[in-house]
Amino acid sequence: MGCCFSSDEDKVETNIQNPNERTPLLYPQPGEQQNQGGRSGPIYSQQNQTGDEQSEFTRILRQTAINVIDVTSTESHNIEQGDMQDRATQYSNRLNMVLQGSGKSRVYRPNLPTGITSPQMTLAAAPISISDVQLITSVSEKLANAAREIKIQHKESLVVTFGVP
Amino acid sequence: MTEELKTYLLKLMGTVEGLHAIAITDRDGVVIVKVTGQMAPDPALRPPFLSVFGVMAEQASKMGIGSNKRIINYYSTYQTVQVNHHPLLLHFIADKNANTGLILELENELADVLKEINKVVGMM
Repeated sequence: MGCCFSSDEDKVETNIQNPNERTPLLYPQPGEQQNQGGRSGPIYSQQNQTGDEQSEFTRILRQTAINVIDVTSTESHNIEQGDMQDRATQYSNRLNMVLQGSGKSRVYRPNLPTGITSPQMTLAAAPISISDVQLITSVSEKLANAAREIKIQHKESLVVTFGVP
Repeated sequence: MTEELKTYLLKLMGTVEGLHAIAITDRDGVVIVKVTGQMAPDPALRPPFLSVFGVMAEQASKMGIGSNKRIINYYSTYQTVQVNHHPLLLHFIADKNANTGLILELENELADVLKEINKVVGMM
């Protein structure tokens, strides 16, 4: 994994003055560069470099494998039929155990739909009269018209300086 | 005890018209508890179908728009609502005309049950 920056000192100075995403944080010592025959980039021992490259390679491969959207990978998740049966039986036993331990299952009761606290009262009540329905309709229409006619006139500045002396 | 849970799930299933089956599975689609009605399509309750959702939710989470929570499929005669409730997966199989919103709401109704079942998966 090499570094893209040049060893030219003028360019390095330019990079320092105008740092960007490729500007390295560490520069190699000039003496080391001469020893390596003007080779650019950070200098490591050959063994370390190989090891680092390998681990970096592995890391990139792993990350890529995680990031790749692979819808064909369903095949790899298939479990043997026997294993599945075993696991299902284990789940069944443990579920029984957990439910017995908690003793909560008796209180499981479907809730009434939210918004209707007492449906029997609502259903048993006499239907509302037509005049009431008309009243509700006309009032709601008037309210809707009134809401449409609301116009906002701004008088004060919308930007308020806050906490500025 | 499991029977009581199943009775509860059946009652819950009855609250949504057209809901044919509720299955709670682990990430691999192994059924932990399942209740079905007479109209439930068998292929939608077999491991090959149930296991796919876990993988698909995982893959769909890589799109860069956050983790995938639910996948709803509409078929010509049925709809499936699948909910990713880590580490569990909920599968609802319903008629194509069933109210999807009510089915989604069942996740909240099942909150207590799911807490208990979470323990079962945690023990494995």
